[in-house]
Amino acid sequence: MEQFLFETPESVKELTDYLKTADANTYLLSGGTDLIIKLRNSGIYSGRIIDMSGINELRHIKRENGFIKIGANVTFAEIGDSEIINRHAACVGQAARQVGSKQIRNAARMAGNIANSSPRGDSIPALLAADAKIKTINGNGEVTLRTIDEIVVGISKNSLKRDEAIIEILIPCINNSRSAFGKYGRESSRTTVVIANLNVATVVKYDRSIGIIEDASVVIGSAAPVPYHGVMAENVLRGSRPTVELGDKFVAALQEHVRESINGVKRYENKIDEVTGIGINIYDMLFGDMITGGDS
Amino acid sequence: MHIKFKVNGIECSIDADPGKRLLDVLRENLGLTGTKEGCGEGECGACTVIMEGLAVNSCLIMAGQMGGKEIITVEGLEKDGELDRLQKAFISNGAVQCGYCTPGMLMSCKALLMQNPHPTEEEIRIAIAGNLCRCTGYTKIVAAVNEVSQEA
Repeated sequence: MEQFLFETPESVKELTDYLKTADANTYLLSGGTDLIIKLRNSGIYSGRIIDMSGINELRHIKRENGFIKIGANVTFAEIGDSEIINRHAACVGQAARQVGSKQIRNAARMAGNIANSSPRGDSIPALLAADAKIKTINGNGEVTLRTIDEIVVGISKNSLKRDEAIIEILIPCINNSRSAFGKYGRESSRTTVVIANLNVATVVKYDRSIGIIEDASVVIGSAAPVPYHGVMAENVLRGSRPTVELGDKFVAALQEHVRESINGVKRYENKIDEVTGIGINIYDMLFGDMITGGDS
Repeated sequence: MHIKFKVNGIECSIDADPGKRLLDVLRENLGLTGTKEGCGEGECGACTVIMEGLAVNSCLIMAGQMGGKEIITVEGLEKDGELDRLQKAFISNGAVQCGYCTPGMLMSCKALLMQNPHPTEEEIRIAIAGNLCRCTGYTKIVAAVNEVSQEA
């Protein structure tokens, strides 16, 4: 009877030993919420599973050397609850809290979400907007640092080699940064526990005492094979004062990006309405306390 | 693979394919059929159990991941033949109709109360967002948990 070989390394060193002999029938198990479904749908009932969940040294969320460092073994539930993340990378925490249900968030890891590289993934736009770096290790113990868009390269396609595993996610801490994430689900039957039809993450550098948006990073997801920077929307924000009018221009830029992405395909047109609502919410979350009435 | 774990306070060990789902281990190896399969893909929550104090979909956990873990199923709620407070509240509030979502629903609510004995309505709704119910419209379920939440 077909069976799996199941290995649970307890350290990163042990992980590299197992990775050394990884082949086409080796599967890395992060939380399992994507892998189990994929294996069953593909009719795969044997092979070698390397279970990452036993590696305690990858269970950290910490601030070190100007980065927030998240170990690959941290669940979405833990990320969503983390004070460090909610303070320094709010959009990542918001995205984490909107992944699936409580049950999914208790098991799923962000490292797995990244490796799964779904165009609709929620963590990827947030991490791209936050300029995240992904640390990997391979069977020879070689550690590499890549940007998230160097890892997520296509629809369900990552650039990881067969003997490579994600071990850490690093998010740069930026002074005076604020960020927000929004998502609209594709299911008409549910408002929560949905897969995204459109998601957006925005990180800005804004010092209230200066009053000008010094820098902006806007990423649109679920509108293309991979999440991408909305450069027009970024240019709208960068160098401007956050006014009501700026918010309208921001939303118009987002609409233009999505219109371009969907390239005339009629059944994707609802994404334009969705990015409108998300854009309004995000602008409000970022600058709602800054916008004042009267003549500026 | 030989796997040792605890279910409802009792030490168990089985020999099973580590790729077998926790859901199937509970139902087939242990005869604990209270946990139901609804969708098999983590969308409906009918298979919810509590593992290491957290609600999880047992259809998305491999037997290999169970080693050394403590699991609570719906069968573990009653003590000495008496239903637990949450179960009694479900019954008195009419939160059980066809009953199919009930085991999973109870486990999501139990996990919430274990972490936070006095949740708000919003916290209750977030806790059960992963549990679909076709019968009750959720109101009576929320009322049942709210009743327990209000108690000292």
